[in-house]
Amino acid sequence: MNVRRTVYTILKHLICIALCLAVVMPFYMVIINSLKSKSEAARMSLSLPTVWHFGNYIEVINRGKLMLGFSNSVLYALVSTSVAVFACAMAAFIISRKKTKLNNFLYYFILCGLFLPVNYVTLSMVLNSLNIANTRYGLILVFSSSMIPFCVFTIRNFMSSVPVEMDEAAVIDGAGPLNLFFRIIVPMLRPVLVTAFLLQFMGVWSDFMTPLYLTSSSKLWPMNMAVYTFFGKNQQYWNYVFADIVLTCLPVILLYLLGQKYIVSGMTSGAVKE
Amino acid sequence: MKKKFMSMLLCITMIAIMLTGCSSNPTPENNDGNETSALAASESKDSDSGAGDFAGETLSIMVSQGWMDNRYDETIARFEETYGVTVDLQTIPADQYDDMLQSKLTGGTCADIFWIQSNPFAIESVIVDYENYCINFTGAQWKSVIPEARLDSCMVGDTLYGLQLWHNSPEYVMIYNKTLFAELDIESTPSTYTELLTVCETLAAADLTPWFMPGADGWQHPLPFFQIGGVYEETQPGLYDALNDNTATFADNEKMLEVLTQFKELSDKGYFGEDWIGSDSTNLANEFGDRNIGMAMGNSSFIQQIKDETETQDEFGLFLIPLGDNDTFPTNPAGPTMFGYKGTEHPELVKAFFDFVCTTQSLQEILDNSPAYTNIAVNDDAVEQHWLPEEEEFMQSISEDKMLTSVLQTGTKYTNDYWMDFAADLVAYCQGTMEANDVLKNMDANRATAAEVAGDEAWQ
Amino acid sequence: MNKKKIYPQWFLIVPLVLYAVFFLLPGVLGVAYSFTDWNVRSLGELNFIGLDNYIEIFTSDKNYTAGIFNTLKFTVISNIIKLTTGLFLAIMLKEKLKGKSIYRTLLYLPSVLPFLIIGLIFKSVLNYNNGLLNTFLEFINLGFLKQKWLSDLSVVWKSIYGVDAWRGIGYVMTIFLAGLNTIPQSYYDAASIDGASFWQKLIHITLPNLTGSITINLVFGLTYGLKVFDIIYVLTNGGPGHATEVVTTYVYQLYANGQYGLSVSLNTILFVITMMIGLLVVKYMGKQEVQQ
Repeated sequence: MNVRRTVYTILKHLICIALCLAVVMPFYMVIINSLKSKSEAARMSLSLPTVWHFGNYIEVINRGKLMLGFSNSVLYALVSTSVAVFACAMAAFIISRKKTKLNNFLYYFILCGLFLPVNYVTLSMVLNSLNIANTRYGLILVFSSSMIPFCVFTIRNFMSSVPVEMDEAAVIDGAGPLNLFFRIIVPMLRPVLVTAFLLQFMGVWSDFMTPLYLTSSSKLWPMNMAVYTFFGKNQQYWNYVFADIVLTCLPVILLYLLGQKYIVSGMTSGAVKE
Repeated sequence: MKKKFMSMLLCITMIAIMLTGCSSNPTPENNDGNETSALAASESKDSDSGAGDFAGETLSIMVSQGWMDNRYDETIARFEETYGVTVDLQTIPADQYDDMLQSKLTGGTCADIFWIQSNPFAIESVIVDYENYCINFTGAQWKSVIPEARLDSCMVGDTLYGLQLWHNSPEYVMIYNKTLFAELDIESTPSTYTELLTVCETLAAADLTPWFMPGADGWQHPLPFFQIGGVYEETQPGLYDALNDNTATFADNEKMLEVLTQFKELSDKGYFGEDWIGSDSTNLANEFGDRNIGMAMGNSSFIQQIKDETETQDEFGLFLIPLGDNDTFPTNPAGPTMFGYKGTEHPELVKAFFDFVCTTQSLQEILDNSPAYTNIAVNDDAVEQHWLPEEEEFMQSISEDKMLTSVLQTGTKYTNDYWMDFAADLVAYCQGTMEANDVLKNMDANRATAAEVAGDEAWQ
Repeated sequence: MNKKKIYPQWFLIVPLVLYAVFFLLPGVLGVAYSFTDWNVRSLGELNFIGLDNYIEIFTSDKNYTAGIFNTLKFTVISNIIKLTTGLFLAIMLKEKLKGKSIYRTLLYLPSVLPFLIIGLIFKSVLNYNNGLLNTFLEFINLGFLKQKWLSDLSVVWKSIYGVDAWRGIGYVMTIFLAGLNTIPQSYYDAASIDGASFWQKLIHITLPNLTGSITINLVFGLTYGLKVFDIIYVLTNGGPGHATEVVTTYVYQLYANGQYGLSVSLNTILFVITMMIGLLVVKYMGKQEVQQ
């Protein structure tokens, strides 16, 4: 019995390690090549650089205007995700608790959005008519709205595991709707809120089509657009490209590492169920 | 725990907002303008408006990857200093540029200056409503800087709209490793297809990739077909005009079918490389330097790049692509061209920029900052060119009557717009999922669609 | 408890407005335009042409229908791959395993990368001559397995599935993990006492309790698959030839050629297919939930 267990465990470890290597190798290639000279980096090999060009990073930050790009990225991702997640949590709460015909219809109505392909041209028409084309506000609103179907869907699905008894208990204690929501419900929803937040945050962070189409000033561009500064039809500075990739991915990876605890900490479902 | 997280979030938000506010006015990186400020002052005396008139304004430029890159950085920095303005240079990825431009033009949100890849037909077929979108520059002084052959790409009729500053180096001819050829006893460069086959055999026998074809780039492999446009015109004089009049088609053209068949033969024999469809050109310089390949297509200035980036001691040379027994030169009076957006808020600033860029000093700067180009095509003898000896040798070996016809994609209407479609079809043909004539038929169909949309009478 | 007071309807306003104005409206406008000959290059006015665009799509030489078929095929296969692997990985990583948090972290990382980067990396990795994969295969003496990963017609789709799985499994796994953590361990303990095997536990305890996560992953997986663009665009751009074209790559090409009307029509067809499938799935899963 024990031997079988051990073999099983070792097998699990091997699989995990193999998978992790498959994941890590490409990252390693990117990092190692970001420190090479232009022609060496073009080979995209796994060998160590002959000369370590740490200066590539400084060059990339300057030429790619990465500080501006970084603050833009953070602004868009943070604000739009926060707005969307909270607004959707409120909506999901109502939809799941108050199962009226209207709410049911609205739920499926919003769900349709998951399938709707984005049409950038008509979208910029709409933005133009509202006079918010080419502004940060416009972008943030667009990002927020594109997240709504996902967030409403995800949060509503988890809402069913928050027992109604908690609501009743709170009301008896004299809580109003807002109080009920923010004090009782939100803490119970924490894992799904954080998951939704992180997933959408990272989605916005890597989105480059939306800012590309909806802005005409490079002042508004998020960080990942800078990669194209180092690309040319005949000249490709892969070392800079890779350095830029590392810098762009770093914040998101950090965020994930920090938020990871929340994603899988689980709920103390024991409180009411058992 | 929750509080910590929230406060962290808030901090980041605050910092982000602060940073955004602080860095909304990017300062120019290069400040080598010190010596030249005297010159700049004297130049601005010549222009119509004083340098101080524009202080604080922002000039936006929209360009595709590869058309400006960092070549204009120094000139732009000087411009910013001279006029006290900021230049917002937006480099858009090549794949997205065309539809970006269209949606910006139709949406009315275009940058002050925009670029297109222009040829004698492009202004009408790409910009379409040029009278509404382009500033009319007729009468500008800088017109004299543009070489005669390129004016067609900058003008419609007698009206001047665009400025084209490109190079005259032979584009996408064959670069070959002279030293390697000598070592393998290949005495002369092939000038017919049969000779090309023989050379390829020799190179393949020596375990090299004879003709490196970067199919994965998506746009390079149609070049051999289109660059030899002159040979189609020679075989059937008047072909270009007929194609533009809709009295001839690509389909069933014997010479073209011949060339396509030859292309496939080379592919089937593995002379393009074992997996040419999956290989791209990022490593091309190294492939030459490492002596893995014998020939490849490229701009003549690429030779300089090979020498700069690798430690090769080999000599390189150029020759014309001999498919279809071609011996014509790929004349191409096309290139990235800049236009002023008519809906701009500062037309005078735009005009000032165009003037500024055409001064000898600016032109020299642009050339000097272009490691990939050896010359700049302008009517200004004061600019010092950097022609490579290999280029000069090559150009001298070609007689003028072989330079008369421009390449197929520039000489015929609506063709260049479907370059990528043709490229995909060409791959399908090489993989056996399409016939050669179908590739040509698709091009005809595509051109017809574009012609109908443009209301071209010849296709009614 | 007064339901109306405690569950105010106005909670729904913000999302609805945002959604309607910025998401729905452009989409509907787009659909409306699909019935016209909207072309960016035409100087003249817009003409209503009814179903002409749709007819063109189904009868054209360019084989748009192959693109539709490829899209459906990709959706089904990529989801089977990702969901089953993701589920097993999640189960494996839920139990006590030393270093499991490291594994979990690492496996999720690919989902973080933008598609452009994944495309660049894998284009290089899958290169026939000196790409990482083929070099590695030779290194471990499996050289005969070398393939032209992105240009051989018989292999190219497998490569796409592979890269897509590389990127997507972490995401799927994370959602499953969140769901798995809501199943009380006591259920499994009780089942073990009753002598249940791994498969029995899976089918009778895990799956029924995971309906939420499964729905999420299925719906997103399906809509992602039907709308897939980035990964194919970046790896093969519909090539080689037109072997890996999907609806969205055609939509993009038409758009880039200025044929907006045709592009939007193809988009609408996609929308209709996606909606039908998605709603079916959601309704089915909803019923399952209620039955519990």
